Amino acid sequence: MSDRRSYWNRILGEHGPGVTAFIRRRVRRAADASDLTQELYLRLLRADRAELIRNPEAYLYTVAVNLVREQAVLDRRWRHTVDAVDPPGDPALVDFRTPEEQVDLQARLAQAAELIDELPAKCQAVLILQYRDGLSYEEIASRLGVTTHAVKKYVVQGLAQCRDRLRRSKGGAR
Amino acid sequence: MSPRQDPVRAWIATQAQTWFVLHREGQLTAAQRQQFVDWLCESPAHAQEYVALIGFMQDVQHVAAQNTTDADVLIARARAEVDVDNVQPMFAAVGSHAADRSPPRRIRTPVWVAVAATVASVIVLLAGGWWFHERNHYQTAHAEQRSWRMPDGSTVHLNSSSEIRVRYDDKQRRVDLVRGQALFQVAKDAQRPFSVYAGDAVARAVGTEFDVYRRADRTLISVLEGRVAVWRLPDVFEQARHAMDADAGNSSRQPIAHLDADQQAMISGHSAEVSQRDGKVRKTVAWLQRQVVFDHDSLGSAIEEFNRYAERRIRVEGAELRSLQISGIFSAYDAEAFLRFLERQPDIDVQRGTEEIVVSAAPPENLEKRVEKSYPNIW
Repeated sequence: MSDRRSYWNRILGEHGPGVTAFIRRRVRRAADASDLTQELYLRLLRADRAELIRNPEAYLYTVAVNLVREQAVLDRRWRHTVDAVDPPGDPALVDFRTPEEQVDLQARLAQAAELIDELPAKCQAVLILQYRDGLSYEEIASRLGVTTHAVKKYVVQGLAQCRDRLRRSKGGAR
Repeated sequence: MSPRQDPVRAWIATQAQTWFVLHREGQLTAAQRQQFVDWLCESPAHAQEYVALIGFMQDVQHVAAQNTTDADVLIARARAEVDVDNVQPMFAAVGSHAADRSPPRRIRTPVWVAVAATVASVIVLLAGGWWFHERNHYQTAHAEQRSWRMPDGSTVHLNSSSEIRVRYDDKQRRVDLVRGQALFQVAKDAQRPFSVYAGDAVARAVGTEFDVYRRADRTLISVLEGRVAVWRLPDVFEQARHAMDADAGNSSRQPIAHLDADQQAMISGHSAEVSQRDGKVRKTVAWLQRQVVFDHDSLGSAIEEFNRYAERRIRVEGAELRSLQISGIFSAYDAEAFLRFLERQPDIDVQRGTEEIVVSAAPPENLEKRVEKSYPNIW
């Protein structure tokens, strides 16, 4: 478990901001976004299945990171021409993107902080105890006096709420 | 965003969130990893949603790590919070149950509840001598799924167009499934068995997880975890007469079956059939994931499943077509995807009317045209 966690933190630390920024920026443009999604998907389909099943989440993430690296070159080359176009948002894509194309990190984090603040106390407690204090779901469950099943439900519910809010704020800005 | 797409998108998001949470819990089993890969590869939208979720969770992680509220304060607030009644859990079908085996912690009934119950019982007695202390009524509309936490800590998930009545007293916890389908995660309480009455069937457990699906002519009981005793209703009536005041759990009457995990019983007025087939229970509870699973089922019964959720009724014409065998996993809320799947079959025709959708056998002369239509890139 702790191995997994540190692995995750490492990969997030190394590549996280790049991937996030990339996805947020790219999915803004419908054509680019569907290209990216399509490419990501195709690489998954082409992947060696046994390899993919061994650690699917890391595999998916590595593929996304590789896409960032490859596309970064193209992005630099095409930035000036592509950015001049302002195509409509893509309704077919679901993600946690923000309305601005270039939302700076601070604004994004402020929004995330606001979303966490609005969450039910149970979900808040789980996220903070998990990410700040490094407790496992099991440990959190026993502190809260509920089952781990319930703990997981709080998180899924909370994320669903965040997603709704983000989508609504995006819709309002459009 | 079209309203039609919305539930599907939300459904994909919930799946992504569920998988994400399962990953944070610890090492997935090989079977779960396989299932996760299947899900990822099912649609580009799935992979996209998952990567986007990872991106968002990086921000959440960053913000959570900077939070300065004391852990004890967080816990106290969380414990004080009243449960939201509309949870949308999907773990029953996706997750490993092993992680959830720890029994739900039952807090002893506080005094005020006992007092309230006594007062309630007095009122109820005055009202007509009825014997239960708490009575509750829960239902879902067409295409709606909801979950509730019961006063004893048990959780009930109701599928589309379903209805239950809940009556608890200090001898038993009784749920009447008036119609539809419900999955019960029963909090352990050896003093008060948990009984579900549905049509001709009664299922009784102390602490377990099981699904009851009441159809017009029969009731299907599926056990996910633990052990459930099953009676046919006439037996229970008789038993109730025998032991009106006795502990309802200690009856001399033998149940017609004891079901263990992964077992199902089909009860009708005339018969009771217990079966244990791999995947059957998983299939029955797929609705929790908003999925419908067909395994060599007839097209007729498959369409019946979709009609539980669909906005427009779907009708299949012709006995031969209705008996056509179908296999596959579909989103319960995406009948359109299923219809497109049918349309791709060269010998099936789908007509979309405003009132209903009719599935019929395609005239043979249209076959070539249909193939061309279904696979525009094939030529």
